[in-house]
Amino acid sequence: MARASPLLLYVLTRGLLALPMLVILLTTTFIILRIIPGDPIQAMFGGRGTPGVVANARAQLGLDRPLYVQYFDYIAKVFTGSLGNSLILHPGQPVTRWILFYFPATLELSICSMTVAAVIGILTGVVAGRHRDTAVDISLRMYGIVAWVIPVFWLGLMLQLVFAVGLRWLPPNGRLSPPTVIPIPPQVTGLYTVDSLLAGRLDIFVDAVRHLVLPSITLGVVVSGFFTRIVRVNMMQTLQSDFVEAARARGIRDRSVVYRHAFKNALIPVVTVMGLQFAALLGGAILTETTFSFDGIGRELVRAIIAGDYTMVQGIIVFYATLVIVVSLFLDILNAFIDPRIKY
Amino acid sequence: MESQPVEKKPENRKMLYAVVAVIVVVVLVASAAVVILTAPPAPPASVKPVAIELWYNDDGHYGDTEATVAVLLKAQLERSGVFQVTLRHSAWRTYVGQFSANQLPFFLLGWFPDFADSDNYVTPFLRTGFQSLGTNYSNPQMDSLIDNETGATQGRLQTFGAIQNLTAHDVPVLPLWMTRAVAVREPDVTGVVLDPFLFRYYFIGKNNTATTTLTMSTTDRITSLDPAVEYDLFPGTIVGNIFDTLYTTAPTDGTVVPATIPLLASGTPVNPVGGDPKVWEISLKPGLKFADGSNITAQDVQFSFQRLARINNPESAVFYVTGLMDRNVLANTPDQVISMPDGPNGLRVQFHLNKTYAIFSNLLTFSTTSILNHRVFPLNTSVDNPTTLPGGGIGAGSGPYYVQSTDLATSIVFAANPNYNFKTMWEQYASVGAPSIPVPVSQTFSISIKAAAAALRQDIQAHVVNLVYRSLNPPDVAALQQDSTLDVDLGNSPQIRYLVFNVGLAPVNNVAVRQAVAYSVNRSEIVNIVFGSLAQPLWSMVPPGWFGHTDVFQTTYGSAPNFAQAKAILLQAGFLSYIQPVNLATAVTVARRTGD
Repeated sequence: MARASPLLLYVLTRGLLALPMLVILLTTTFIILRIIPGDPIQAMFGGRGTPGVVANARAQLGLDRPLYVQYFDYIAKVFTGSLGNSLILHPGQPVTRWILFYFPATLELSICSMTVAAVIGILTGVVAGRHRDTAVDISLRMYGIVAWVIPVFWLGLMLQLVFAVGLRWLPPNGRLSPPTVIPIPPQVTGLYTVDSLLAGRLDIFVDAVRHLVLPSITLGVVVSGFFTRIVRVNMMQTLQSDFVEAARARGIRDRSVVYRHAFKNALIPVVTVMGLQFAALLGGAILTETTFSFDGIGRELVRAIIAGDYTMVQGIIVFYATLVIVVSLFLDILNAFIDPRIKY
Repeated sequence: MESQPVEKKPENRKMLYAVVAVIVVVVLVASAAVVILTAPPAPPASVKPVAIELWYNDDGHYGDTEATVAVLLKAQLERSGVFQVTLRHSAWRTYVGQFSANQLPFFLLGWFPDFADSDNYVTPFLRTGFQSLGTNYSNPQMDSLIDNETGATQGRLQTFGAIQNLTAHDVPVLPLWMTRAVAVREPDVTGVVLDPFLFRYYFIGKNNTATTTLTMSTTDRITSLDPAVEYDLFPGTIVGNIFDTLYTTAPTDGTVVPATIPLLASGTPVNPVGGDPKVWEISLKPGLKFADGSNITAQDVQFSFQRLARINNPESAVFYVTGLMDRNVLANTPDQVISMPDGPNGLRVQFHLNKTYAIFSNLLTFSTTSILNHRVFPLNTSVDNPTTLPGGGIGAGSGPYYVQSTDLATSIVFAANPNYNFKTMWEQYASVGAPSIPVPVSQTFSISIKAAAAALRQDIQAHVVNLVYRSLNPPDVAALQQDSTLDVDLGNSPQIRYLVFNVGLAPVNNVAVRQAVAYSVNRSEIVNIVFGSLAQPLWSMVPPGWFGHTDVFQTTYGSAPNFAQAKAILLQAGFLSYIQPVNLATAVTVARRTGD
């Protein structure tokens, strides 16, 4: 009988461990949403609903049942793949539909931001690590710290002020120009950059990219600060390792040692860190999307929290959690492939 | 022998520091004593102020200015010397639950009217058994006046005067200010009428000529575009641009009371019919068509009202209709309440109301009563997005626009109704503010929905859109007014802001307390400090520009705060119990004599 591969066992174990994590998260969210004061059903009627009307609406939505009944009902639904229907923002419509509607925007922003973060962070980290304790290193370390702590909304507002309102080089907000100027491309993936190319509309593609520049730089710069510091440290450690010394002893040019040998090895831990940063990126996307009126899932989460749309908030959090778990797992597996020291 | 280090010097220095410290402390204590002892005695507290809690919303439901207004109100009331105000606040969904459950005694609220009649500024707050909106007010005299005002058109002006006088006396609500509507546009954009009743996109174009496309940004949100569901300003405005009602209001910038004019109706309604004042007959204009070219007939009118009753969405404004026609009858046997004397394909309908309701034609201007195409809409289910209807929803309505595309979340695009008959519908109203060129002026009109007010300023400053409307922050408006490449329009908004007294809760259950508050607030100060040109003081729940308006609170309580009067009223009502001031000199003398 063939034994399951260690990697498969690892994936299964991680998957099983994710389940209780998800339940804990769901339970916490469920409790917090009901503990915080406020009645979303009353708010839905804006004070105009008579007690009978409000009671009817509450009964229709199942919110008049005991909390534990609501809880187990919800958990059961989640594990059968249903996140329920929106209560307030999109009354009666499936939460999943709206998550899928908003998620492509967040995904597009996350990919672009991660690209910006990786390019800036790795570049600055490598240069700082190579020029340890020089003025360049100190400057780039300063950059890393400042970029990491800078409030994302402040940076966004400054970029909007300079490049959109002042210089008018880029659009200030949104995902596309007004629809009568640039039409929304036919939806295939929901990523406007991809859908526009699939539709063969270069004008829409250019417009979508122009709208992505400022939010991606905003979020990317903030996340890049962390990468700068991690890559710098890894680069310094790698440059002190035996194989680098050996390469130098063989007379290989310093530039080649750094960029062909040390650089590749210094990047391995970055892959692990990227998993953690992905969660930070999603958190940052909430603020970035609000600042840039970018119609992503983060902006929808803010609206759902304010409106008290329980099912929508719970749905988005479950979705976020699942996403982070899946991405972390994927990066761990990827790490096993690229790092020969890791065995499962 | 090694010499010992001299240790005396540091000791001397320590001693010196100690002496200086003692001197400093003595001087400070002495100074404080002199100041305290020579200070004029504080005036004895002559009254015990009335303690009240003032509540406000803290999560931006009314914008970013609410906390500032609340702090200012507290300062004004405490300046009178007769109130001690504790500020309390909560998020909107808590706030609504609190005032609906009668937990808030005294709080800030706002109101947008539902339809173009002054009654909408009266009944919801003051009529027993109506919504109350936190007042809990019930006064048979007021009920009688309201019934008179809604029951007959004769003497309505006087009745509104009496209603406002009684409101000023009983003060269940205290009007504070009315907001100004703001639109910022590129200078070539024309036809922007800041109409408090309906913002008409179809009047807007460029340079007063037929325009290809126009773009706008807003922060308003859409929940549904179904007249049987929507009950909010922005969706109501969109509905008003894609559907026609039987009647509408003449275009106005809010400075004059507009006339109710026929839209789909051919003229003023016939009432009473056959001597029955509860029956209203309305005839449609001949030759009217929906956007898909199908005819508009009596059947569409009956269908539209029957559909309201069938769907009976509790969040909608259906209660206005079902309050006049039995819901079950309207839903199941509509002929009994909306008859069609010339048959379904005729042009006449008769509404058989269950009570006399003199302002019925005004109710028929409300977006909820829009006329829908019975061939396109389902009778029993709501449709939030008209583009999901058969044929892309083009034939859903007969308004100047139809919805070309929308996701209800980020944008909406309107396209001109190819069957819109400008000559029949608007040409005759050029003298009362309608454009003299065919409407819709712009062939397509798009609205982008943004997350925050800051985005509106960015959009118009970067000239990404031609127009931004509503929800601009006061500092942004001030900045945009300085921008030479833009024009800022200010008009009367129908939104009013007011204080609510829950007349069932102490201490505001006493009319004297409410009147004293009315004497103490300073509306001009609130407007000047917080809003600048974006608001104006409001002296009646019925705002200027609406039928029957009088500045009754100004007449009754004066333009400026009158603290003496506030104090007098409260004293007379038994509040502000005196704490007899104690004369210390007399007290000491008496004590000594007793001791002797």
